[in-house]
Amino acid sequence: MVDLIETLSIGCLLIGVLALSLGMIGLLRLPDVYNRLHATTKIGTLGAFGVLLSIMIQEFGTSGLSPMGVKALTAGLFILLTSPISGHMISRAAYKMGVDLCEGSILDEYEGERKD
Amino acid sequence: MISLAEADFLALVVLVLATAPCIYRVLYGPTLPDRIVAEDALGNALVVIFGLYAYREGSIFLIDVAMLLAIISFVGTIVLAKYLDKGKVL
Repeated sequence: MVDLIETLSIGCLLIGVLALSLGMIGLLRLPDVYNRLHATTKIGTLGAFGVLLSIMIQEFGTSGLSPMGVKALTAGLFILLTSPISGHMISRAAYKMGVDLCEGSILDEYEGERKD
Repeated sequence: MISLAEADFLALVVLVLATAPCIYRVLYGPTLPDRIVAEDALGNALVVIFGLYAYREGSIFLIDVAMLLAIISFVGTIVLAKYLDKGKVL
């Protein structure tokens, strides 16, 4: 039982930290706002929720269903729910504001909706 | 195999190092939406950092800070996006 909890929590922590670091590298390296947004949305969903779920599992292993574990899971679920919404609103605002796509883009299906 | 406390500490170090690209993007981002994207990512990373630190310290107050930061960061991002879109917030 203890081994199972340890393996699960280290697995969740590894997935979360890996997703968060790769998202940050994407934020640094990718060429335009929409590509960067594509990278940073993974931080919110997989990264933050993975690490906070790992905290909840560790807390469950040591002291059962405690307030700290439940609060960590609540924060993770809140981020999981709200991160796609904020990403969508930022990309919509950026497109309407007139930020252009990067050089190698081949398709713009939203073209014509721009506010002149 | 490393213990759980060491794994938490290593994760905390990696996460603190991973906030450096966000700060670079906030300072030097070419356009305004770039900075807002970086601010949103920084907020999410800070929630995770506060959560891990609170768990390591065993502090019940810092995990409240993480929860509140998640909510405030979401509201701030939405307000900035609305402002970019319409030129006013409401």
